[in-house]
Amino acid sequence: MPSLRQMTRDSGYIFAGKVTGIERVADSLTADVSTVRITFQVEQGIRGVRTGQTLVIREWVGLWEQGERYRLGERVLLFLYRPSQLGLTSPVAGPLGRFTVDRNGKIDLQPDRIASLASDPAEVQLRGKTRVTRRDFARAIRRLVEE
Amino acid sequence: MAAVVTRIREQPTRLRRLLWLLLYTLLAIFLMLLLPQMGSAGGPRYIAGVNYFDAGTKGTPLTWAQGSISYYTDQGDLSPLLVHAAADLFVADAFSDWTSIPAAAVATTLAGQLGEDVNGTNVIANGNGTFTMPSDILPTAVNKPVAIVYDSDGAVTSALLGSGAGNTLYCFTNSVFGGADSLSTNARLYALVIVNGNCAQTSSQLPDLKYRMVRTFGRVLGLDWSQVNLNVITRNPVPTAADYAGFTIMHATDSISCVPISICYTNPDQPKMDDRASLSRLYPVTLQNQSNFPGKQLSKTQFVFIARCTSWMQMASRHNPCRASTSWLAGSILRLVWPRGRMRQRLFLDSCFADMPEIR
Repeated sequence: MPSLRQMTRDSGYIFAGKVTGIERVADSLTADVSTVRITFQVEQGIRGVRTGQTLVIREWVGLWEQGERYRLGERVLLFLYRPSQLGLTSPVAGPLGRFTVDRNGKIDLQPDRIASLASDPAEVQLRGKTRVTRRDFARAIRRLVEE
Repeated sequence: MAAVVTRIREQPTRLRRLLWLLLYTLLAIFLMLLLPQMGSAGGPRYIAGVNYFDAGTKGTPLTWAQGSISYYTDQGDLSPLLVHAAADLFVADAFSDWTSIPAAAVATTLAGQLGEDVNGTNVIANGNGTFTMPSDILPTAVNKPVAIVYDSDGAVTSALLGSGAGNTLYCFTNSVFGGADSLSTNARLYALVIVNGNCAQTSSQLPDLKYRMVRTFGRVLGLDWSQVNLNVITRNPVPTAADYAGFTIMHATDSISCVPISICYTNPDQPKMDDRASLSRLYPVTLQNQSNFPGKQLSKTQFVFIARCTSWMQMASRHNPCRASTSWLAGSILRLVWPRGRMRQRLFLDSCFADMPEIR
């Protein structure tokens, strides 16, 4: 299983943000592939994006059909792969790269995530916690990047 | 005088029986109304709505027509361990976990190969924001309704999910993915499944790969995730052996500590009771289609719901569970569900003992 350190290493974008747009981009040619365009308002940029920026990503529509979906207004913290040569991305390690952010801006760390975080000695700041602020989470990730 | 006394003594007993009958009937009705609301069992992934779909299909699950599915596999190898022929056998074995369910009228056939070895060189960007893939792995390729891509180096996985997604490190989530891509106005038309070859490099990886493939094929066949016995994951209440035994393969997510998957579940790739019942409901074996599925048994999907009620009734009856469920109580329910259900009622009574082991 990937550790937080590995997930951070393989992420092109890490941020907490709000979903502000979802649009299916239909194929225009027979051989084209449909995608879903998702727009985020970045509330806490950690890697690859700045706080306050609008980020638009594209996901393969098959992934959307598989259940990897967003809702308008939803707040999430995402680790996203670097966009592929097709310009597509998705959360690193699927659901593991996606965290729920509550109304107070705190990130929900589910029990199995905590176990995963505890496996990496560098992730001391997050260990044993069930909720952390975006700022604390960002600090822990930046530390991982710097090490 | 003695006869009068006897009658007086009998009356409260009869009254009590009638009251119990009324109480149990009301409780049964309540459960019948409540249980579907809870929606804990597996079920169809897609149900026809009002728009787009044929009028006659509204509210019905969208399945593969006639339960017959032809699939086509990649021309390339999956990995050095699973070269093309071995990979085909692996896929067929995973499909058979579903198609071998005796009361499900569903069959899969390896109908041929895709037109190419799908890999990183033919899944390409066009430069204008669009990208191109081989035509027979697109939703429009309904003449090859299920396409299975052997992504030998993870390049296709990385292209579709993001750079690096095809690495071995991410096999927990990215080893097999895809599902139904296209629906007609009354059925499923096309599905694409991508198998990451980086997750088939060693024999120790194969059990997990098969587990994830069977789950993905469950989605391809039209099943949605199930919430049965989720206490196996939540640990609340602490799961019993029976909870584990009935924990569906179609549960939505696994704990990240389940690597390999066998440390969490025994026989992880085998569909469990609810999985089998769900597929049987989607593809019932009927008198009309039984001849197309040699060896399959007539489905009694209508009994599954009743069987669940029966489980409760069995708990309520200490002495003879079948008698309890098949006497007045079952009769009352059946008459409510099927006013003209005498034949079904008899089938149900006959199946009380015969079907429960099959369903379980």
